[in-house]
Amino acid sequence: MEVVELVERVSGVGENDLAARIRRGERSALREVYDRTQQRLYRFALAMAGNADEAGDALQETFVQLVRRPEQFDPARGSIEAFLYGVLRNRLRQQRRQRRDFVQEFDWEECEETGDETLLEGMLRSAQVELVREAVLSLPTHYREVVVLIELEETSYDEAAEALGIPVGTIRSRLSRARGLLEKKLQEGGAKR
Amino acid sequence: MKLDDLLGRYREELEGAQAPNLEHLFAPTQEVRGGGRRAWYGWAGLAVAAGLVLMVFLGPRGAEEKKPVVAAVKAEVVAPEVVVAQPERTVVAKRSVVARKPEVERATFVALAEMDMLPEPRVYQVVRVSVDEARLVGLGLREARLASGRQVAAQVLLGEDGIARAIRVLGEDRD
Repeated sequence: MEVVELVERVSGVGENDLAARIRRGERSALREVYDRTQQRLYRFALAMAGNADEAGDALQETFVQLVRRPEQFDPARGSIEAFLYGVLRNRLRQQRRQRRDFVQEFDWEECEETGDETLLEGMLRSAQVELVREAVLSLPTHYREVVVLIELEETSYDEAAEALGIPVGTIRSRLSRARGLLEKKLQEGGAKR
Repeated sequence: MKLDDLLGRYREELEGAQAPNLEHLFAPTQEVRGGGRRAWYGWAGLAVAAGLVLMVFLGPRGAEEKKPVVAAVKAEVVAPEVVVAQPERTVVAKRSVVARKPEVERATFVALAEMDMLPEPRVYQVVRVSVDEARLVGLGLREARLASGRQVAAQVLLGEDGIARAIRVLGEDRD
């Protein structure tokens, strides 16, 4: 798994070299970080923002900041991935403040038949996914971050705690609370539909 | 359907999402910088060469265009020193010298073309020199067909850095 590999490398001697190379702004080191983390960071951004444009913008700004100010990464304070999560979360918050209409309406025209699914099954599946997506998006940010990392990205509690900069106990309590809110939202949403 | 199942479906959807390609952000820049620097040297060299060619072939016209600027320099800085450097111009008793004065007055300093690139000196110095007339052809101050290879007297306007900024031809050097 990508995060596990990264954490292992951070704890190793070789990773200290990588951290130093990152701080010096060596393109090869930055590219290595990008290759390892971009997909996970993008999925996080997508689940947090709710649309691909905003997620793509936030991801680009995150890596631009890494390229322009690599010295901001301090290996003593955490892994490079935790640093990037922090930058990405800040970008998403800024975007959210700028664009209040961040929740888009579901486009039924985009529902297409996929694989062996019938059109109806595909629509139902998309509708269910959309229901969850909207429920996740409706959560307060600090709950949504925990749900995205733990439930959607399947990161460990320790990794999530490092990425968000909060204790593991807080992760557990926020996740428990967030799941309760999600169930409530989904019941309300299912009843409306 | 249970919450975990719904979250699982959403997770599957997210896993299919493709991040935008940002590889261009990590492209190496050294080669580009080096190329740019080399290109700059190349253009600078070309500009200097072009300047020299213009100075040789278009010298007279360039010199004429620069006259107003040189005249201003002369009025502010050069004229007093020239008078001091040539005491004969101040001696009224010697009629022969007085007769040569208009000839000296008619000549004017001509800026050397490439000197525009140098910083303007705070202090000027006028030095009298003897110059091979053939060199004046190269500076655009003589037509080649009229150059006879004799030595001519001239005054050179030097900056504090010792580099000549302008030249004024006085006439045949009789010394």
